[in-house]
Amino acid sequence: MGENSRFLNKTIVINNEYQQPPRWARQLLYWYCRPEIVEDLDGDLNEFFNRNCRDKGVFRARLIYILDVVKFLRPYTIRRPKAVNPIPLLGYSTRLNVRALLKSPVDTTLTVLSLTLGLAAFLVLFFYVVTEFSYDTHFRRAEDIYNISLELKSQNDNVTTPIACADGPLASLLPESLHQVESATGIFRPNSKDKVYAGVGTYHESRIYRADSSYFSVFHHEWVTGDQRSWGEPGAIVLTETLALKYWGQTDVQNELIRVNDVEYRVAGVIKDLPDNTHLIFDALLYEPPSDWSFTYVLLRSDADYDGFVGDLNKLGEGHLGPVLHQFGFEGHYLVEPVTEQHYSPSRLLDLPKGNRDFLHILRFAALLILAITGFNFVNQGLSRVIKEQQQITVKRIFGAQRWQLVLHELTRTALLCLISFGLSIILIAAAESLFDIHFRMMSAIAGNVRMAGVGLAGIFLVLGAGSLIARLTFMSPFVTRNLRVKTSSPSVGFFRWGVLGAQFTISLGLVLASVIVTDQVDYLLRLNKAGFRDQVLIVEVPPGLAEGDVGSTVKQKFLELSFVDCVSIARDGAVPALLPSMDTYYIQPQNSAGQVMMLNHVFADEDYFRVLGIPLLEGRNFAPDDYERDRQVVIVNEALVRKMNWKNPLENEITYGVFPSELPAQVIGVVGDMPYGGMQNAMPIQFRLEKSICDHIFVRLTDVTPSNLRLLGKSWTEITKESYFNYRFLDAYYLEQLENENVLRDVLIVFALLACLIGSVGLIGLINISVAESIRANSIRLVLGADLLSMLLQGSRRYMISFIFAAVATVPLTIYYMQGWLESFVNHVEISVTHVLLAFTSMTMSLLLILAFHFIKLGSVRPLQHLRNE
Amino acid sequence: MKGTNIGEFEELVLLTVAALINDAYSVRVIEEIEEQTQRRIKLGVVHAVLSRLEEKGLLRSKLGEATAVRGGKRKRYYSITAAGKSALVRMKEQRDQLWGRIPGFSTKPL
Repeated sequence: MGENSRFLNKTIVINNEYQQPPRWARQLLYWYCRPEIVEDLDGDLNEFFNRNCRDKGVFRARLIYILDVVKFLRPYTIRRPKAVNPIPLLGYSTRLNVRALLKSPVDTTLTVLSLTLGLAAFLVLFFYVVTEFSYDTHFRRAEDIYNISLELKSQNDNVTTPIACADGPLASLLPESLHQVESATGIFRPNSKDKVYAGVGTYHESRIYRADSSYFSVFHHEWVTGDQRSWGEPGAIVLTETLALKYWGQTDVQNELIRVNDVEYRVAGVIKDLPDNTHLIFDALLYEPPSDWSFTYVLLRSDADYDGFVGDLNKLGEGHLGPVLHQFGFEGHYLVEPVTEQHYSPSRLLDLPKGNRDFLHILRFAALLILAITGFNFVNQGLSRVIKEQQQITVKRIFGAQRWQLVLHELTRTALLCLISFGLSIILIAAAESLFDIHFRMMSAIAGNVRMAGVGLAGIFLVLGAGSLIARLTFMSPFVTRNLRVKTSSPSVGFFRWGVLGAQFTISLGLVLASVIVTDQVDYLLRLNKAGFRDQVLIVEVPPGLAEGDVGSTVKQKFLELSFVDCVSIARDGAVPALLPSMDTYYIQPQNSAGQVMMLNHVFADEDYFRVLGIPLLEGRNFAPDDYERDRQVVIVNEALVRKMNWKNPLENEITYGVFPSELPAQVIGVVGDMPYGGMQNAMPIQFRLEKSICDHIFVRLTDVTPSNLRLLGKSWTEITKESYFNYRFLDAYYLEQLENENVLRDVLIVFALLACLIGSVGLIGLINISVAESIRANSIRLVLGADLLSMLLQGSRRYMISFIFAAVATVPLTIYYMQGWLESFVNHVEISVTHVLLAFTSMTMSLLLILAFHFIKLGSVRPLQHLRNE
Repeated sequence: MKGTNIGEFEELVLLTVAALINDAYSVRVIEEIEEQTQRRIKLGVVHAVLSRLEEKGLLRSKLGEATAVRGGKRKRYYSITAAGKSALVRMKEQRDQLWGRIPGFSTKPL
């Protein structure tokens, strides 16, 4: 309606002695009608309207006018868009934009840097959330696959223990007993490594799962060689592509022979590697009939009634498992959950690490917040540029540039910056992934969701484009066109802009403070555990074939002959302090009170275990060599177990293996200090039992750790076991692994605190640019009248100083409150002090000082004569 | 130029424009037809026909003067072209031929 508007205005002036037709109807006519016929059409309608006013009255005339305007909506009256070829204009616009971007390298670098960091942070968080939310969804008919687990309830104390497994025979029983079940399978994950002879080498693998014959009828995998028909016979093994390439350098290995723990298997086929976001993280699958306990999965028929199935399953369980559980003092029922939901359910015994849905929602929100702030900063930077280019835009408008042409120019610039920043953010992510050991494979997550990445990029472009356009259109108003003067933002827009900056300060300061506290806590935990001998304790892993018998004792004697070996202990699985111990059912008989059945953690080791690890004996005595010979068993407990049982005299109690008091009871003979079993947060109740017939680990404490001593140890090991495989780790490594979550949290917080500071700083620089550009006349006049730069800086920086103070007041108490809660989950933790807050403030103030310096330079670069020349 | 076949109403509008000579703009054309035929004519219909006849090359148009009653908007005056005249003549001849073939034609109703 741009061209039509001059006729519209003219009418209002001339038509003052006649009745006016409805204005909106006229505007409608001018909106849709072709400019070349609109004048006479409007004239005719007016003439008719005035005639009708005279003949039929004003009201009816207005109605007829409106109807006539609507009736004129015909093909020959409707305006057609001009057929302009935008391609040459696009090329021209791109060239102009590239030139403009190169002309102001500082502004361009800041914009690209801000956008790159923001996009990289957004992409990583977003795709991490996408990957986590799509756990196990890659299976065909994933919606029909369910996991069945067992929840045990002790009849004595009503304590429930959910277990991630179900009884082994259940899987084979289900398809024939329940009509809803199409197929069911049992999978078993071994805890120890398997020794594999394949190709020309020997390997120790920890991810070889066992499954029954129905596995491939429940879970669909893509086969590289072979197919599921060759699975299901005894002695079959299926490898993943990576493992086949590792053993033979090729994937065409069907029917090749492979030995696992000295049993021969035939390769039934090779399947594609499994994605990261699955619970079935195996490298090979061995065919094995169901064991006592297995991870049970069931494929329901598409039309099956879920509630009916759960009811029938528990009825089946009552008959099939109930009597056995009752015998041991338990009740039990099956828990059924979709395989796609398994990752988010509460963690159970023997479960794999779980995700947290709430945490993922928070991450998703954080990703969108980062994107919004990045977009906001991008628009601000664009705005400061547009203010500088205002006169240029006005001149373009005066010389006939159409609004859409200016819009296209702005969109081209946004697209250009978007593409450059997107490319750089991908490079940044790839570099971070290759330089650091990051568990989450970001690039493969992005590559796996190319369509989503494309849609995301288009969305980002649209949002940023819309923001830039709003910024630019603000400065295309007729007012600007007429006045050729710098237009300033309205107070409400300015307030909003500085408010968002305050929010950025709040987030940055909160993250900086949190990362300072987490770093201190992690360092504290590392210092605390240095008190033991963990950097001198070596843990040798004994291969499965050698675990039983007297190999452990022989190796112990051999090691003790070496001069640099202080002491040696042999122990079963679950004895490594940093790892989760095993557990079983025990009957506890305290003095003068009723006995009870409980699930208790246990560690089986010999009498030197406490000495090797430096665990202090607090009460009673240690195991003695003659305890092996005694009729009466003995047990040592830790402080946490004493606390849990509320024992006043721990040495007066007995713990019996099993559920019946009639079995051989073990007398508590000592109490030892707590060690961080199963996690650094809480001290876990443990009972220690004497064992030397099964040896899964050998703990060796050295007086001097040198490469030559380690070689000598390895030589002694090989002499006894005839094994070339001498697999050991220092206890220190287990602790570091244990602190992995805290380390990851610290790294994530530091990275995001840095990002938040950077994004916030760039945002503030954008705002300073706007503020300097908007107040350029005022500043020029001040400079001419003799104002000094420092006073101008103090006045100009007042707003962001206030934002910073508000942010500090809001953030510090809130962050301290949340971090205090986190710290209290640790048995040993640091106290939040003024030092933490001061450290956070200092690091933030440093970046603020840098920005002040930038502001000072900007003010110093104002040339009063140049800007006041047009006044 | 599009085909010169015209319909009955188009012929009527073309004839009216020819008859009005220098005063043929849409409102005047409507008034004239209404007066001659006693029919109610819609502005939109006449506009569409005038536009179509111009597109066929039977009429030409030019903008005239603005008047206050028209809200300061100019009139679009139409005049008949040579093609328009020949179309009218051809139509008249066709009708005359048909009239001539009626034996003992009388103006009285049949």
